[in-house]
Amino acid sequence: MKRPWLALCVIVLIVGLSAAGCSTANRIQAARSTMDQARAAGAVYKAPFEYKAAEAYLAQAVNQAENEGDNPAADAFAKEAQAYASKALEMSGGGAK
Amino acid sequence: MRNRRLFLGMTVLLAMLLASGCARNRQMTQSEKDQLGTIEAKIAKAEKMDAKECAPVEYAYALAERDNAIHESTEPWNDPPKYVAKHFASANKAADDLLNKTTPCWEAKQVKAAPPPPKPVVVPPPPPMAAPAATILADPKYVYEGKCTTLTWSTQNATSAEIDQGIGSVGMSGTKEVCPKETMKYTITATNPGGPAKAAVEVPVYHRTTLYIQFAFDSEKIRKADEKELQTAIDFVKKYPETKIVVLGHTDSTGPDEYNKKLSQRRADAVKKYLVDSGHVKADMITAEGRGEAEPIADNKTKEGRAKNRRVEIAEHGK
Repeated sequence: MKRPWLALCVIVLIVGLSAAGCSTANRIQAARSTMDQARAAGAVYKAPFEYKAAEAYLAQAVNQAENEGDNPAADAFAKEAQAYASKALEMSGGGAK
Repeated sequence: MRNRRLFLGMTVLLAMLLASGCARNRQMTQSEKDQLGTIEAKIAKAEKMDAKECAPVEYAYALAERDNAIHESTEPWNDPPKYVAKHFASANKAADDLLNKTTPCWEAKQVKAAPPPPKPVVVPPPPPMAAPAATILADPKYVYEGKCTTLTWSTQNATSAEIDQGIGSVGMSGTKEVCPKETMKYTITATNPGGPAKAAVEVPVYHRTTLYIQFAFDSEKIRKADEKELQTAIDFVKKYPETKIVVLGHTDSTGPDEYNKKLSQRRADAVKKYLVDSGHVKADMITAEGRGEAEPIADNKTKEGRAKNRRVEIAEHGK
């Protein structure tokens, strides 16, 4: 290894970028998971607005992440989706007991 | 040297990454701000109309589309505005959909929630007016032909009153003298909205004839010379065979009243007997009555007047 610092820079860059992407994906996945729970608890009927809002914001997050490559925006939308999904779950009587 | 180049390259790369992260957000154009204002207004209007309840799906998408449009319009690389415009168009459509679904739902709710229209004020019908009533009588109850009687009437609860036989509309109560030529039935009709009421009185008109019989002084004996005059009486009773007859004796004022009364009675009895004996009237259909000097028809101060007052009247009805 003649240029260990260069390799280190590349690794840091790759890890950093990957970490950012993973973070967004995890957030989206978390929101989706909460939505699944909410749907199972009957949120479609018990908290239709909250459920649909979660769905709409999640779609925006996925779009930003997959089509626009805009992770910060995807993060922001995913946060909104998570908030609505949690509310829907709560209103449907689901969630942690 | 190579290391320096590589270091410079890495520095530029790092600077670019930092530049992209720290790049200033794009500023919305005035037109985009106006569009956003319109979208916000539509959403706010829908929220006031209970959008969450009426159109939860449309409401959710409108919010997400609005936020996406805001995001896209502030992205540093989203220029020219043409690219942003489609996001505003999409958000605007979502807001329209929301409003279109919310409005009729809200209006229907308002109709349901509106208090029932006040019941029409039912004015209770006025209590039915008491039926009218009427009375009418005549005084005297009968008249001899050529004489008059007075009708007296009264009504209750009437709004108008009318008496037939040519009298016409009258007050609710009153009197009127009438002189019927024949027996007459007077009917009063009292009227109000509740209907009419009728009352009637019959005024019999009796006939009579006067005989001037020349009785001897203080005598009730009928002389031969008076038979012609008595034929008038016979003709009268024959004319009214079904009617009770009364013979009324009258004197002038000469002499005491009590005496004259008895004398007039004796003379009336004599005429009655004459008529019964003639066979033209049954005894139970004729009566006699002495009136004395009480009912003069002429001046007792003159000879002619006293002659007229000394008379016998034959009348119907025995009164």
